[in-house]
Amino acid sequence: MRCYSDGEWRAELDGAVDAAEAEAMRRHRQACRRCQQRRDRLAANASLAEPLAAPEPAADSGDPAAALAAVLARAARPEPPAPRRAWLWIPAGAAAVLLLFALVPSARTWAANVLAMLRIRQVTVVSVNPPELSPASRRQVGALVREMIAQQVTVTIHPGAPRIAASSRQARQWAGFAVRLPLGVAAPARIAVRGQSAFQMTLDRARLNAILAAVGRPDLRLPANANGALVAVNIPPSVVAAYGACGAHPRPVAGCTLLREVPSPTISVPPSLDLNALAQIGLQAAGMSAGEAAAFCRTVNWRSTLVIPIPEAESTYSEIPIDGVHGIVVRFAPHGRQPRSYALSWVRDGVIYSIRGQGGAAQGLALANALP
Amino acid sequence: MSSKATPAAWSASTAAPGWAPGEFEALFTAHYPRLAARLRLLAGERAEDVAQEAFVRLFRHPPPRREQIAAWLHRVAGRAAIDLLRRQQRQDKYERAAAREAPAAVGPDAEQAALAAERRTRARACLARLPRRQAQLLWLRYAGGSYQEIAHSLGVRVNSVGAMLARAEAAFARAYPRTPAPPGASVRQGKSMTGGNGGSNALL
Repeated sequence: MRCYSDGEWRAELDGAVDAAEAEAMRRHRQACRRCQQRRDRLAANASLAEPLAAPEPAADSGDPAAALAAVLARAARPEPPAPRRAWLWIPAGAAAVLLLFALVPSARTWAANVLAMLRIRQVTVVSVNPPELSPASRRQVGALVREMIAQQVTVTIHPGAPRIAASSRQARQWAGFAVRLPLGVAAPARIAVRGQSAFQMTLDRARLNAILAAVGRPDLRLPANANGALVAVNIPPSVVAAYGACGAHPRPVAGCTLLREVPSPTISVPPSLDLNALAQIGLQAAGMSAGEAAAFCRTVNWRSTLVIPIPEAESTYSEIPIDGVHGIVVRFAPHGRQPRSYALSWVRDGVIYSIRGQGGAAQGLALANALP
Repeated sequence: MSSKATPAAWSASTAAPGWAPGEFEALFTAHYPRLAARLRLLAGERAEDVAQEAFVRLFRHPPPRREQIAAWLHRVAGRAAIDLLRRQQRQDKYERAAAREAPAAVGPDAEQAALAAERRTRARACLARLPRRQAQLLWLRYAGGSYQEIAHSLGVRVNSVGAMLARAEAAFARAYPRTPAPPGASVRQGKSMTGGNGGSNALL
């Protein structure tokens, strides 16, 4: 016996289903108490809004011919100049990127990618419950995202291959900011400096809506004015210092801890782009209810806050004092072959720091607290 | 866009840039009355002003696809009307709107009319508290739009409308208890506010 969704019951209440389906639904709710209660709840909510349908007091409807003449007269006046399309320099502007990241399956990838890209003054975490996707759906989403990136993203500054600095001083020279490395610990096995990068992305509403549909949320739609919006991201040079036994290509595996530093990237978006609305869509796609997404977005200053979406099933997080500021520690549960791991993140003096490693966060915390 | 000087006023019968002769007038005749009527729910006495402004925009920027015009008009005008409603709410014109709408309570019919006006005013104020897209959805639905019209206006699939409506009405139900009743309503509310499954309970 298939139960019907809220959307289907609501359509049935409005008579927006065909007769055969309506009859099937009627028989179903006679046998299914849960669906009957669901329908009753929807009907009760709708009854509160019913006064909106009440006819307005009779008003002078005016003469249509006079209205047309008024329209044509107004249309003949000089059109006010369109607001200058001044770019809003938004230090965080996480919404469009958050939307993309919300759809990437791996929490670890999310955290790493987000930490590498966004400009912030503080960090916060939001726990989400992303939809379970079948392997086919995941492949479809991946293909759509790759196609969108190929078509809509233009890299304007290529970072080039990372350069290996011989010392922290050289790293500072290449990176162009005050790179800080822990004192009183073994020297890093490697200090890599990644060059500046920049890209632009033209939001394609149809493609993004298709991605939302592919993750099972065809009801979520980007605002119309998001279509064609140009988002420009500029990421300053960054530094990754690898500690421990990291090998030639350092990754946060057993015995290897990575310290990453990057000055806050800058994201510029058109002023008309409703970042809050985009963020809410992203959060809903990542599993939040509309109410939860709205409530969360009310607490976030998108201009200055990095929001890291963390799947609640795979991780826990808490705020911690670190390096003299408030930061976040995310602990990832073992996942498949991957053992437990952690990620620390904080912002200090406009630089985003992250430390990633396996096991508990003690070693990472030690590195962080050894920073000058 | 033509480089000719703009006349003092366009004539509906001549060809304006982007429009064939008489085309705009035909669209206006077809869509304006219904749009203006529907906008009264949101904009009250400014409904025609909002509707006319939408047509001014349409005239200046004719879309290439004429079959989308009704949806476009509802989207543009609805957005403007909701923004207007929100501004009015913020400017504390709520009391004035209630005073204009609520007739003097004389006799049972007038009492009912006053109650209906108060419910409508409160519902409108509650609408202003919702995210714009939800407010637009509820407006389209309760202004008599079909699921097809709603879907076209909002740029969504028809089979998404039910789910969106369920969520919007849940949000409306949550916001309703926090929406102040219009002045003078407290006395009348005690009499007959809880008809059916309504009332001010937040039913989620």
